[in-house]
Amino acid sequence: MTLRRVSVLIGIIVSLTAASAAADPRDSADRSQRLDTNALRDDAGTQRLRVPSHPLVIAPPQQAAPNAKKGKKQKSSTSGAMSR
Amino acid sequence: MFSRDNRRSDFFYEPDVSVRLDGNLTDDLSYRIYARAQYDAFAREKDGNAAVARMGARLTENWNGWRFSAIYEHRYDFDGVYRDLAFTSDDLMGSVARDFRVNNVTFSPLLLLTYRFSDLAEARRWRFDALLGIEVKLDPKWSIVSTPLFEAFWFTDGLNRGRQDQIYSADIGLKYNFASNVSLTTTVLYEARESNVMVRRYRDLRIGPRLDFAF
Repeated sequence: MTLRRVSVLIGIIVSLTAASAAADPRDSADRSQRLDTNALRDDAGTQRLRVPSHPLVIAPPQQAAPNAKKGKKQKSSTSGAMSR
Repeated sequence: MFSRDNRRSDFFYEPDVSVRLDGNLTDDLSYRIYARAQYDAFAREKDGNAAVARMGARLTENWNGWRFSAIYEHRYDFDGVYRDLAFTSDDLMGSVARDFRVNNVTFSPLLLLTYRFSDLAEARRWRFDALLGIEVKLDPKWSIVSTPLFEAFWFTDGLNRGRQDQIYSADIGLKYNFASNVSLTTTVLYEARESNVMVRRYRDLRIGPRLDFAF
């Protein structure tokens, strides 16, 4: 089990719309519906926002490479550095 | 805000804050634990103010690019901006979604089915959502976005027993990405609700900007 990230999303909407007033138990349920619909739209709008790296991000553990490959990789990296 | 037959135009703002903890159980199975607070505050029609606080958990299985999710959410709905607790509910949800990319266009269809258990009989209902997120990238900063949405409700208890609503809505907007985690979207949205209860029918036009941050 790995913890991928902790993120915080904040959205603010400022709009012109129509409202009405009355008192009825059905009205509370209807107000809730409006917030749910907006939340669904927000999710569609924010799902492609990328959370930047920060200290709360816990990186997945690196897979341990076999020793032979590790040695080869180090060699390759060294030669790359030398060629610059 | 809610719908009766004496609707008036107004300005409102809606802050929406989510804290999420994401992780993987296996390569294809991920989880999310989240808390979310959201409210509507109107400039003049204060009786339309409402707020919701929710906590939930989601399991998502990835299968050939499709995302199948099961979600449980416990929530508190308030009249006013966290003024009076109106009702508490438990939502059980199942959804399927995926992203399709065609050149510079991303299509994100989503189907979602919910049943709400609640201590307020009028709030208990089935809900079905079909949504298509569309984003057309014009360049790295600018996009045109649209989210056609269909919602259907079947209320099961209390004064709402037998009530059936359908909501059709579509919006179009221009999005500017300040960075990969900050965007500003200005949209025009049209919404129409049909219902077998006459006073619950309405038409709504909404115009305004939305600012999103992720960090």
